[in-house]
Amino acid sequence: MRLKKKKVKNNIFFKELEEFLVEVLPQIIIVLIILMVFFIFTDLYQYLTTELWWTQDSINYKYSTIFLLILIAGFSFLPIKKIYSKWPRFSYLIISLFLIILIAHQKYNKFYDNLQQYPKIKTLSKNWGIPGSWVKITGKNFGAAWQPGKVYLGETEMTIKRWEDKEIIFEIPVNVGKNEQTLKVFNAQNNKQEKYFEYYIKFDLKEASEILK
Amino acid sequence: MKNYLIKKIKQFLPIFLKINNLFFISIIFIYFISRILFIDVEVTFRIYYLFPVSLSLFLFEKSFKKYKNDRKNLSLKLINGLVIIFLIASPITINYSTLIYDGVNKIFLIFGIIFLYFFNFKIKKDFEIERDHEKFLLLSLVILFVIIKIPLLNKSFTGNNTIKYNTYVEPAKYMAESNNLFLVKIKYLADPIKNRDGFDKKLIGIPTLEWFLAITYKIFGLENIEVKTRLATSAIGLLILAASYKIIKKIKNKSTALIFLLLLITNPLFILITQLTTYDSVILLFFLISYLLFLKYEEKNEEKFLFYSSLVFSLSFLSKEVAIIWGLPFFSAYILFSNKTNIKKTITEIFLFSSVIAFSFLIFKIWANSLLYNKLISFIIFAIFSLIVYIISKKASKIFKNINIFSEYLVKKKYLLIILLTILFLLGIFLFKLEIKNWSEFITDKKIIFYWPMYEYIINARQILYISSLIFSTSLLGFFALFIDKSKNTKFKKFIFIFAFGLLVYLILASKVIFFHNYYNINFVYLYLLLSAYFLSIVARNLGLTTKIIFFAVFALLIYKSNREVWKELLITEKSGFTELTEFMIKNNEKDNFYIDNDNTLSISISTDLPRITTLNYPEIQADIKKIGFSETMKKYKIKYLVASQEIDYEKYAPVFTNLDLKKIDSTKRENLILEKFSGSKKEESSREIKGKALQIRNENIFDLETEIGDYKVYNLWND
Repeated sequence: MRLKKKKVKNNIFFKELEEFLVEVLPQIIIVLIILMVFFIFTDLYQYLTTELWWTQDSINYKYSTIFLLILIAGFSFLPIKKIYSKWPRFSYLIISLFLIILIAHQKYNKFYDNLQQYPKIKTLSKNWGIPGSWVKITGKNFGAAWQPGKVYLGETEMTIKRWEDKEIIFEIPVNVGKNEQTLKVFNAQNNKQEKYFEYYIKFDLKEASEILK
Repeated sequence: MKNYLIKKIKQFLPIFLKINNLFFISIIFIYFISRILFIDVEVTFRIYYLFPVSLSLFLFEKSFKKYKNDRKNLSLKLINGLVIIFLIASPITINYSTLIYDGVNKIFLIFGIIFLYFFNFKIKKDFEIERDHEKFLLLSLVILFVIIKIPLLNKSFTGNNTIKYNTYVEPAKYMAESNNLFLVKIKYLADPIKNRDGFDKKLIGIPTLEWFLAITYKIFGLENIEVKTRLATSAIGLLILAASYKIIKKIKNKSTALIFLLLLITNPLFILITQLTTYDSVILLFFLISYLLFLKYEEKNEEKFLFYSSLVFSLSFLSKEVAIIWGLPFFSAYILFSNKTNIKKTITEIFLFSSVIAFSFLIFKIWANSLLYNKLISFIIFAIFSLIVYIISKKASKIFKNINIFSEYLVKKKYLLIILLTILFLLGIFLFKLEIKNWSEFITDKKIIFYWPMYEYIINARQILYISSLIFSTSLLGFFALFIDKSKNTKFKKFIFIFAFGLLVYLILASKVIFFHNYYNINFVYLYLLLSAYFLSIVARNLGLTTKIIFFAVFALLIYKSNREVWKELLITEKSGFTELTEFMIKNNEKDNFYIDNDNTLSISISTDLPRITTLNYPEIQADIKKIGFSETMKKYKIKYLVASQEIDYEKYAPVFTNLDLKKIDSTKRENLILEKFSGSKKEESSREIKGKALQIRNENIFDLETEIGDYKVYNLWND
């Protein structure tokens, strides 16, 4: 008798659980769709605005959260039950798609994190100079102030006056070669920027001493 | 306008709830992806703050659909929803980290809430364990307790709470040696000028623990004193377990009691208080016995049990005053809420209970004072008291009847009742004022009462740490389950609510000591574990046998994992070289030589019989140093060694070398230490003179390092 009673109790529990799951499952599918759309759009937006077009240095998570909320509100009107009734295997498709996109998202995250290891120059205060003048570089991923890297003009190392993650100020030393030189920035991990800048040195010190003679 | 609003709400509520459902599921997914799979999701972590509201709205929506036409159930579900908000929000307010970072705890909490949600109409019957099973389970629990205790028996008296051993083991040892239960000798608090033997003339409470230890030493002998001390404290632990089991079996059921015992035995704080010699275990035991007797009184309606109950309770607070702070609110509230129909009986019970307490308090005061002057008189008082107790217990029912008649009269003439209550109240205040000098050490004051960061710290670092956040969340679930428990037996509910009330009073009034000492929190831990056991028993009732075993195995594993570190820190820490140090001290000292304890934690006065001091700030020593120099003064007062396991705090010893008034150099008070911790302000720096002197002592090597033994450094003070 006791066992029977127990079984009845358990059955009620599982029955309620089943009802609960049946009701919640379509909602889970909608959430998966929402998250897929969210991942695709935020990743794309992040790559375009912080890497390709470079209109901002990093995306603001506040705005992406608001975007998620808007997506949730919008997708709540999706007639999921109708789709279900027409196409019962819809959920399998969504789950597999979600898994693929989740993996892609993870790969993208790794790729993006790797990109952040390399310094990137956005602007130079001027693209020419003379020995002794100070030049300001703005960009990103230079590294923190307590982990300064190095700046080279051609083969000569520059004297660093200020080092921050998004800004470097250096002084051109006297022994730098004349005319066009490539500007290279290395961060503390010895990663070099990918795109080179040409920097024009108007004269070197030897020349100046000759003129003075 | 109102109708329009209602119409609009009705129109938009389902849409809103639908959006919330999706939001709730999204949060769970995002949590899973970011915190368990460790894949970045570009959302702010503040989204988790919305989780409690979202979860409760989610459950509300589910019930809204189900019970749309059943209005009675709907309101109940709404209340449940509010309780859930409170439940999940409270760990966030108490400690942000308990909910956000402790993944297992959080998952457990959520599943627990969903579980309770499904069962909230089904908690009606209690689940019983068969008799044979009960015996077997009890025996295995006792064996578990013994297995946990055996490796801890032989631990030396070192670690964080060593001074506790001095406080109680020392007097007990001298009691056993001199065959005199009234000799209170504490060498760890000796005074090199006035009290070189360390006799204590003041008796603050009944030394029940010391007596118990002394009797143990007398029976088993004094060698291997550590083991014998631990045997005694473990016996108190076993008695607590037995009393708890009896009580919970009576007020709830066997399954809850057994699970509670399991949780209590494996709790690090419980093992600590039954390892240390503290009064907290003793007063807990007395409280439990007193409550057990009260239950017996309620059950059998025999007045002598009420009398015994109040007597045992008096014993508990006469052993340690703290007991009254949570015990008195408990018993008074318990009596007030037990006889709703019969006011006469309530008045009689309160009268009897309070008069026994007041009577025993007065007797104790007279007895303790007479003890100093004449042992014969004190013995006579003790004998008379025992006789009175015996007579009252024999004629309890008659006395009870007479008091009953009196209270009937009181109920009729209400002004008399009011006058009597006022007199009682004033008397209480008078006694309180009389005793407050002793109490200022632990009673709260204006500066720190309702100072929230302190309570937050107590709950986190003194309570949740010792029960693990997993048990904390299950105890919250247990508290929630109390509201939806519909079984006819309401004793358990009553006990929990009133016990919690008593502890709340305790937390507010005695926060000063609770803040500093972990063992004062055993009552809170007791409550948490009880609630947790209650919840687990509900879970166990609704699971099949296999799932039950898996569930408890996983739960035990999780508790083991979270308790392990606390265990290590509380119980296993030992300093090396302790026995060698005591041997060295005995060999190189005469019997009445003093030693200076630099760290305040050195209990070698137990094993070496050497009196201990912690400071040199005595005006006499200050004067002598000026006259005859430091080492000669030390020889005069027979202070030979300074023992330290940490760096020497030279500023502590510097004042005695200066001309400063030593009375003004006061040790820091507890309330200021608490405020310093949270407000960031540091204590006043010592004056330039003291600093300079400290530097001088250090550079001139006035304390001469003689040897290093294990973790200890021994400095000789007699070298020139």
